[in-house]
Amino acid sequence: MDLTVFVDIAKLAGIYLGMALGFVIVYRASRVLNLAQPGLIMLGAFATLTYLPKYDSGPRATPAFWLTALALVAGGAVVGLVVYVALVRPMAGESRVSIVLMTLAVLFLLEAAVEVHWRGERGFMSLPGNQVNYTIFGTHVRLFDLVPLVVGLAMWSGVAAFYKWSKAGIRIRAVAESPALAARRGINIDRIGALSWALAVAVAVVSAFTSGTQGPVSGLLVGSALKGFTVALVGGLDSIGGLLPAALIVAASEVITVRWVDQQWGEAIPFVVLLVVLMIKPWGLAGTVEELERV
Amino acid sequence: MLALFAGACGGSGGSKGASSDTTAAAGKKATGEPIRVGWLTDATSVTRGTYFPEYEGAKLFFSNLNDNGGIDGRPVELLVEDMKIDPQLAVTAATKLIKERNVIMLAGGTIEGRLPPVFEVVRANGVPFLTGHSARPDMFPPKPDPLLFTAGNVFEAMSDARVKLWPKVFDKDFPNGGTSACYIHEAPAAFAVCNRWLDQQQKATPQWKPGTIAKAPLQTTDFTNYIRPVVDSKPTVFFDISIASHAIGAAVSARNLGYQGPIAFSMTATPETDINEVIKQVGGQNIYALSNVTSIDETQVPEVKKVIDMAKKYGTEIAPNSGTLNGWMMAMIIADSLKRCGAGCDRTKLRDAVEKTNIDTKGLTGGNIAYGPDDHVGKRYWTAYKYDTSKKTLVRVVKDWITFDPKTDLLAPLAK
Repeated sequence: MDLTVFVDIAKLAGIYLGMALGFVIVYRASRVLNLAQPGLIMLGAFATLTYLPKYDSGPRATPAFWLTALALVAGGAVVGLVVYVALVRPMAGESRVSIVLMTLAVLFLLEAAVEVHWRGERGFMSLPGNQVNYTIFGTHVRLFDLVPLVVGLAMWSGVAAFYKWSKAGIRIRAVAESPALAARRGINIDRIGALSWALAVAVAVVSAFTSGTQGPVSGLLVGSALKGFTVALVGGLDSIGGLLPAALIVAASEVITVRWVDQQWGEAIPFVVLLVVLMIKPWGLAGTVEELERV
Repeated sequence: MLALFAGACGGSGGSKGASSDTTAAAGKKATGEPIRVGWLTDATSVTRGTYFPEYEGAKLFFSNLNDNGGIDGRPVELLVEDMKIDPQLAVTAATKLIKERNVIMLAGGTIEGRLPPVFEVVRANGVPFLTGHSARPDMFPPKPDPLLFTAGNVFEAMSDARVKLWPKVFDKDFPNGGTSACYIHEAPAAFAVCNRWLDQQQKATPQWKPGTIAKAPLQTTDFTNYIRPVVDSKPTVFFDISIASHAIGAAVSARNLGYQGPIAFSMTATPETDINEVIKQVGGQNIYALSNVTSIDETQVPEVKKVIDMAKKYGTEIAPNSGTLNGWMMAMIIADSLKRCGAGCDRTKLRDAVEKTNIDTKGLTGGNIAYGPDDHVGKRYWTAYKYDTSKKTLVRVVKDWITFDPKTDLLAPLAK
C-alpha cells in the first residue's frame, strides 16, 4: 500500500491530538466543555503569524525563533490564566450549561477580535525547515509531514506524564474525581483551575504551530480546530489515554474517505465517526461512565 | 453648466477616459456638495484579500479626482461598509448606505452568491449597482436587470474565456498538449469553474485533456489530502482558482508534495500579493497567472504607474495589486457616468448614464468597457503572466489580449 496514506494519517492525527488535548485538560479539571478552544487556537495562530521572526529560507531555527516561540507559548498560558480569572472563576457555582455558554461567547468574541485586529489577514508562518525533505522507502516525505505527529505525541505524553507523576498533576486528578473531597484535603481548587486553563491555552498555541506547518493561517482555522473537539468527544472528554486512538481513527477515516470515497464526504466523516462512537459508547472510547451528564 | 447638463444623460456614451482625466482642474480641490457613492466590501474576513483592494483602488481614484476638481467641482465621497461574506450583513449595509447615507449608487460586493439579497434592496430603492470581481449568471439575461451592472466575471464566462486563452499560454511549452488539473474550494460555482472548463477545453483543443479535479471544503486549512490526488495524477498544468487563502494553500501543498509543473492562478481571485506569498514559501518557478486586468507589475503602463503613485501618496492597507486596478477601473466607470449625468443627477439619471458607459480603460485591461441597453456586462479581455524569477515580477506570456464577449461567445448556457 502507498506509504503516503500512513504519512497523511499520522500527520493529521498529530494535529488533531494537539487540538483535542486542550478540550480534555479543561474538562478534566472543571467538567467544563471549553468551546472557546478553537478560538484560542486561532488566536495563537495569528499571534504566531505576526510575531515569529521572518526567516531567510534557511532550514535551521535561529535563537530568535526559539525565544519568540517560547514567548508565544508562555503568552498563551497567560491568556489562559486571564480567561480563568476574569471569566471562569466568577462563574463558580453556576450551572455547567451557563459556563459552557460563556465559553461559546468567548469563542465568538475571539473571532470578532481576530477579525478586527488582523482584518482578514492570511499567510504562512515563518517556520524553518519548510523545505527539508527525506526519501523514506521510496516515498517523498517532508520534515513537516513528521513534525505534527512528533509534536502531538510529545504534548500528549507530556501531559499524561504530568498528570501521573507531578504533584500538581495528581492534584488535578484529585479535583477531577471529587472537587469537594479535594478541597477538604487542602487542595487549592482555584489554583488547579487556573493551571489547567493556562496549560490548555499553551497547548492551543503549540497546536497552532503544528497546524501552521501544513497550510496558511486564516480565519478558516476555527472550522478545522473544531475537529479537535470531535476527537476529544470520540476519545472521551476526560480521557487523555483515549485521545490517541481517537485521533488516529478520525484522521484515518478522513484521509481514506477523501482519497478513495469522495472529497466532499471528507469534511463530514469525522462527525459520522463521532455519531457512531457516541451511539455505541456515549462517554467516548475511554471516557468515564459517570460523566453522562456532560453537555 | 447648461451645456454640461444638456450633454449629461442624453449623450452618446463613448467617453475616452474622461473619468481619469483630471488635468482640466489639476490641483484644484473639489469643495462643492459631495456626491455620495456606497461601496460594499469584505474589510475583515476571509475574502478581504480578494475584495478589499477593489475598494482601495476606487478610493485612490476618487481621492485623486477630488484633489483635482472632482466632478464639476463636487467631491465624490466614497462610503464603505463591511459586508464580509454575510448576506444578512450585506442587506443591513446596503440599506444603511441607501436609506441613511443617501448614496446615489452602490458598487463593490463580495462573493456573488451572497449578493442576491442586496439586489432586492437596490431594486426596492431604484439604486444602480456596479458589482466588481465576481458576478452571477442571473445578471446575464438577454434583457438585463435595469439596475445591475458588473465589471466582474460570471464563472461560466471566465471558464469559456479560458478555453481560448489556455493554448496561447501553454501550447508553446507543451506543443502536444497534456492534462489540466483544476482546484477550487467546494462551492456552487465549482462545476462551472472546473468541470465546464475542462469539458469545453477538450472539445476546443483535444490535445488538452481533463485532469484531476480537487475540491476542498471551505473550512480546510491543510490541503495535503485534497491535493495529493492532483499531484499523483502528474498533470501537465495545474489550474488553481479559489479564494486567496485556499489558492495559496493548495499551491504550496502541490509543491510540497513534489509537483514541479506549471501552477496557473486566476488573478481575479488570487492577486499578486497572494501569489507572492506562495513564491516566498516554495519559490517562483513555473508560476503563472491568468487575468482580465493588467498586473500591477506592468509598471510601464502609465495608468498602472499612476495607481502606484497614488497608493504612495494616499496609502493603502494592502499593497496595490490587480484588484486595486480593477477597483480603479470601476471608479473610472462611476466617475465617467457621474460626469455625463451632470448637474441634477439622481439615481434614475445615473442608471441611464451607466448604461451608456463606453470608457477607454487606458491599458488597465485589453480594451474599452462598454454597456448598452441589452448588455450590462460588456466585453472582457484576458491575458496571462508568468513569474520571472530573475526580475522577481510577473511578465506577460501572452502579448495580446483575448477578447471575450459573454453576449456572443459563451460555449454553453449559463447555470440556472
